[in-house]
Amino acid sequence: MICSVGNVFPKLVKLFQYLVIITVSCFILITLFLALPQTEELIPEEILEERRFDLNIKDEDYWKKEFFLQFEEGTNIRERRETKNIIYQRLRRANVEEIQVKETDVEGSRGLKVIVQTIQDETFIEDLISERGYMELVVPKEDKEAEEDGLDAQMYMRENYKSTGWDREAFRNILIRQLPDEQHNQVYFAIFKEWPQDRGDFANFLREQQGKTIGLAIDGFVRPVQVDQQALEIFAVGLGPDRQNAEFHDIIFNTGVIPANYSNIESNEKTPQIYEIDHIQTTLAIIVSIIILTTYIYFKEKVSTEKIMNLGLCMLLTFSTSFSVLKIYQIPTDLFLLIIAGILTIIFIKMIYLRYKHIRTLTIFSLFTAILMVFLGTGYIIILGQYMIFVILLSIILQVVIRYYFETIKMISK
Amino acid sequence: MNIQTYFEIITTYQINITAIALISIAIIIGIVFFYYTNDLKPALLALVSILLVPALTLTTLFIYYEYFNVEPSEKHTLIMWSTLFLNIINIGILISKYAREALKKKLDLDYVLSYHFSSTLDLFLVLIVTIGAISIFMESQMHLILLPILVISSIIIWFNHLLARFLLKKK
Repeated sequence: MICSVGNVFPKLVKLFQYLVIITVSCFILITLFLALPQTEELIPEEILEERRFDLNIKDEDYWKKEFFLQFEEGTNIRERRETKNIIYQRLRRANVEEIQVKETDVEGSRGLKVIVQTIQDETFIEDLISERGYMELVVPKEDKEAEEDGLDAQMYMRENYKSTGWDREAFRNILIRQLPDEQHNQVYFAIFKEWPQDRGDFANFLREQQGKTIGLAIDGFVRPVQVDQQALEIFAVGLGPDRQNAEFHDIIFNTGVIPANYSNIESNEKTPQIYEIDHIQTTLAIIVSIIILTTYIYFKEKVSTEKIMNLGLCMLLTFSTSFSVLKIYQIPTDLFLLIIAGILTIIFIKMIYLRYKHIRTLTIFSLFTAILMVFLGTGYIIILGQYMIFVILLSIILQVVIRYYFETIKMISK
Repeated sequence: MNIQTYFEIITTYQINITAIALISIAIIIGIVFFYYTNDLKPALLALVSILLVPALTLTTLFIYYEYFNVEPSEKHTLIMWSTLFLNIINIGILISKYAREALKKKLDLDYVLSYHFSSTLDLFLVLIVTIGAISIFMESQMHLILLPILVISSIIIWFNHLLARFLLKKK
């Protein structure tokens, strides 16, 4: 019995090694095939069905526009600067790729020129720029209270309400969450979190309004809100099921209060500035640089052929896997960013391979920098940071897999 | 393009978040350095080196806008972050080597510095080879980003080495 187990175990190990070699070899071939340009044309349409499988390049989807915003008379420098900052912040949170906000003269008075180049929804971005987004809780004027049962168009007009003093600055945070409504449909709610010192006052205000309809006013439009028993515990305003609308409110509520009134005077279409690089060019550039670099390292640093093969394959596989992911999930891609990311990735992989002792420090520092790019970067930097986080982690995993793959091949071939 | 116009485009918010990012990186690296060396000078090295990145990027952009009439674009911020990334790799190797040697009974600074010299030279040559090979396939617009990445990174990694030689040797 013991003898047979002893015979089975090495066979199982061998079987496992064969399985590893077959799986990794298949993975290498499939990702290389998927990543190469125009391979989607070789896949039969029955397999593709309705799905797209080419690299989803953003170039065609870009639009560029300039907006001229004019400040109300008497707006001071501090308010103008604050408005400029908040508009920039809003556009950054909306993942706009290129933003320029500049103070300028608009029709004889001070204003802002905002230039955006993006693939985001045009109306969404226009609303973020042109709407001030001043928010406050309002209560119906006494003479309108009796009519509130009707819920006619009057209920949505700001002039039928009076201010309460509960504006955005009175709240610490306004969270946007998707929750089930009374009919069990998933809708978005804006949950108002008041400052601790105002908790008592806000509870008193809601208690006074219990059973009545108050309003959430944003730039002259009022959203009626019924104050019921539940509202006394958590004050939440329904925003409907539309995701983009919820995102719009999230940005408007949580990027600061624009201190000045302004109007959108004019907007002009412009031609987007795009770097003309195609998929074939990108692939060639990356492959050629990997070949030149590995050849250079082979002759200059006199490392073993196995190590060079390891390095070259790790670089190639990191790119082929990431390109395949971009193709399969149809992630919108800027090719010029792939070039920059390609350079950083090649250098990172080269360093972790040939300065292996420092792999931990290099990985931690590089990841930290990439994370900062995502959280504190703007426009393209955020996209580059996300891509770098993915390729750093991927290359760390792949270098372990490839080392094991080569060792297994060596063991089997002995 | 007037440089004044360029500065009008940058918002205070942009400056603030970039400053926070750079200072966070400098502080983290400084703390790691200080932890291993118990000396503030290497931490100063990290701080100066990281702050040099935006300074050199701004100078490059100034030259672009003032003398070459290049239109400002958010794409140019990629120069700073890419250079920063490469700079972090260079400093990372120095810290890692320093830490390894510091754990030994006798710290051989000459060995650490000669190791950093070889890794800096290595990074410098790899930068030239990689960016050079990729540049062949690119058009002039991309060269406006790739060339400064190569030049600024090269200046900074050699500056790191010289500063390390100056600060660490002085000890």
